[in-house]
Amino acid sequence: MIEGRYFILCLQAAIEKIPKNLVMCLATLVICTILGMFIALARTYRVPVLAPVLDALIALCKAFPANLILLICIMVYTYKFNDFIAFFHLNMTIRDVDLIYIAIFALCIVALPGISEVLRSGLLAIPKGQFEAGYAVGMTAFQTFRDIILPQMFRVVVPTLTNSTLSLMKTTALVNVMGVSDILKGATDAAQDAYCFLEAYLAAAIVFWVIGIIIEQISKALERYFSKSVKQAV
Amino acid sequence: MIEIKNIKKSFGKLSVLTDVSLTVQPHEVVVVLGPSGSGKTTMLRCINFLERADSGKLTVGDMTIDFTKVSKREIHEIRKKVGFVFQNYNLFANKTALQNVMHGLVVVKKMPKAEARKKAEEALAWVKLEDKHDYYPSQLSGGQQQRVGIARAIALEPEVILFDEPTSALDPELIDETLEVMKNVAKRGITMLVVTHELSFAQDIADKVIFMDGGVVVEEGTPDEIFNHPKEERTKQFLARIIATKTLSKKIEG
Ligand SMILES: Nc1ncnc2c1ncn2[C@@H]1O[C@H](COP(=O)(O)OP(=O)(O)OP(=O)(O)O)[C@@H](O)[C@H]1O
Ligand SMILES: [Mg+2]
Repeated sequence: MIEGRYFILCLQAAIEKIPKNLVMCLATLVICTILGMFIALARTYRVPVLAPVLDALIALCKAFPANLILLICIMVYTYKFNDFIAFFHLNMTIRDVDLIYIAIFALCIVALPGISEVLRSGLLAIPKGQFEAGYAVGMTAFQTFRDIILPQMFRVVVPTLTNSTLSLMKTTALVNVMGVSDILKGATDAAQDAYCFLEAYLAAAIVFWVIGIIIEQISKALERYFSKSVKQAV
Repeated sequence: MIEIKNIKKSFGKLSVLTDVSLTVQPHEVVVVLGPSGSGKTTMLRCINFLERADSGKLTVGDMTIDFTKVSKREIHEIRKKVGFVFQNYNLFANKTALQNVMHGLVVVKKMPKAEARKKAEEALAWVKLEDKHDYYPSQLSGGQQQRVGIARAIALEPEVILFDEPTSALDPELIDETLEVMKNVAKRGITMLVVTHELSFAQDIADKVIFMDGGVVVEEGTPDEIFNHPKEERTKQFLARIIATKTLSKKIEG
């Protein structure tokens, strides 16, 4: 049923696209972690106006299916591109922009609610005494956050953030609804001629599986690194 | 020197500090006693702005501020002049003993790393923890953690160090080592404001004892005056109760 020759063909096509998924996943992860941190802080410390607005936005974003968000983004993008260019007096056409940026933008909307929630729970897990110790030593709020709170937060959130990363990685396979090529699209494109879709799906599955394993391993290493301070006895 | 004048603080309707004034002269050790809930912790926390007092004045060294109109800058300046030793240690969980002591020197005092390390090593040696530099707080006993907490405070050379029941979270056998270190701190001439129920410490070390109850200073005097000739009924009752508890727990321990 599975034809080895076709399978290899699809696998090669899928592997070629790995960097694309990785770039989308990593860029989204970095952007969401930074933005998510600010959102978590604003919501935890109930910054007036900002906090309730963010609460509502996050609740809204959480409710939409990922592929719907991707579709809306690409729709708005294609309809509004010319207005946007005109507004900023830029000299470019829609073909000059790589759709991957739009994909990353859309993926950020998909992933941001989850990641900011993960960071918020991490922030809430740090005892108040850690902040107070920083202030008592004479550190500013920023110094305390940077040197004391943030490192402890990462230790707490690495396992949950790994889950977010894994599901983000899976979501990158949906970007072909926007016309962006990725691992899955690469594999199925290669299958067009020979009509060997089963081989293509299998190839894509294996690639995602291996990436998943690698992400887990990286996470374990990070966990070990961040938890060296809580290991018992030397 | 540190002086607080007419400090007031309520949490909602509950008035915790009704009107408290006290002075600690340079190199003096002042011990604050008082029943649970009398506002001792709140008073110390107000001095360090971990809690915001409603009104009153605070002088630390050459700096005087009014609690009703104090700026962020002033709060930061005061905190740099005041050390704090917490009841539950509050060591930085992500830093080793040495880093705990060093960090403030580098980040707050802007000391070069090598110098800060030397100073931190001295401070740790001073609390007899020279062999525990690279231990994380989770790997230290309560008594050791508290000694690191004390080293962290003294290394910064503040005008005054506030101690909030530094031994009350410790097992009995660890209390003595911590009190010993505190006695050494006192002998070094460091100005100290100490909340504790360790009467022996107060008796041996304090220059002045203050008895607080219900958000006011009920009585203050030398250890001899407070312990041997208390004037106020509330002071007598409180001392009797503490001594009774102490003897009882001694009997139980055998
Ligand atoms: N953040 C807070 N919010 C509301 N009430 C508080 C807060 N902190 C303290 N209190 C109340 O203020 C009162 C005084 O508390 P405080 O901790 O200062 O007492 P204390 O003298 O240190 O007692 P203890 O000997 O038990 O430590 C208590 O009734 C307490 O419930
Ligand atoms: Mg207290």
